Amino acid sequence: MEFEESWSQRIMRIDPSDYHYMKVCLEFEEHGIGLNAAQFKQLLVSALQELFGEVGAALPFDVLTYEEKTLKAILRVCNSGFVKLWSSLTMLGSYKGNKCAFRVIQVSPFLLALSGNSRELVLD
Amino acid sequence: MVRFKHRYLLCELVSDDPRCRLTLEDRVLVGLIRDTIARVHGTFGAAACSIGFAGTIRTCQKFLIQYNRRQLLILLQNCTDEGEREAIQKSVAKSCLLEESSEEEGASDSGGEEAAEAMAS
Repeated sequence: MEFEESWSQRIMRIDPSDYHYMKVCLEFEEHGIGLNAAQFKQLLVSALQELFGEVGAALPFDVLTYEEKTLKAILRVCNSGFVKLWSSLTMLGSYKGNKCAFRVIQVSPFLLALSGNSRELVLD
Repeated sequence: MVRFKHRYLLCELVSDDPRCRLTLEDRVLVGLIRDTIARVHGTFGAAACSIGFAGTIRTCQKFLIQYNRRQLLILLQNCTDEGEREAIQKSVAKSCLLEESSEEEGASDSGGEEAAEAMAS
């Protein structure tokens, strides 16, 4: 028997990213509630202010993309504020009296990783 | 092992209105500080400072009493006017009486001995 020689390669990054990227989706209990991009960002800022006060509300983060129809967004936050932002999203319960919840679909230090999500693959 | 360490901050309250010092109470100050922490650091900050907060104020107060007593003794040694001297001696004697009554509760202090030496000189 002959064994074919095979080799594998592992690549290690020395300088990791300064940011974390999150793909999130806002779900309302009732259908038909819409937010534009500015209202969406304001909602996130108020969630941070609720849990972490004025200091938390000043945390710099960006809404890179936002789809008004599906209420999905990609957020970017610096590594030091990542835990604060995610915990604020977790604790957010309502918007203007309507019950809602954030679903965090994917998180990565690299934006390119958010382009593919193996969890969304469907087996035929 | 990571331990919880205590930090004490001794602060001076500065205000435009001199009368507010008379009306400011312990509980009012604690409430004000808690509200400010809740505003600046949110729910997380308010929860983080709620444990053992009242105890730290008492410790700061004790330190402040000792510090002011030592300052009075220094003033006593430096003052030249006889009337001032008597007034300061009265204040020091009063603070020593208060200190003795708090010693019975169990607080240890060496301020009383220093005061007695200064008064004799």
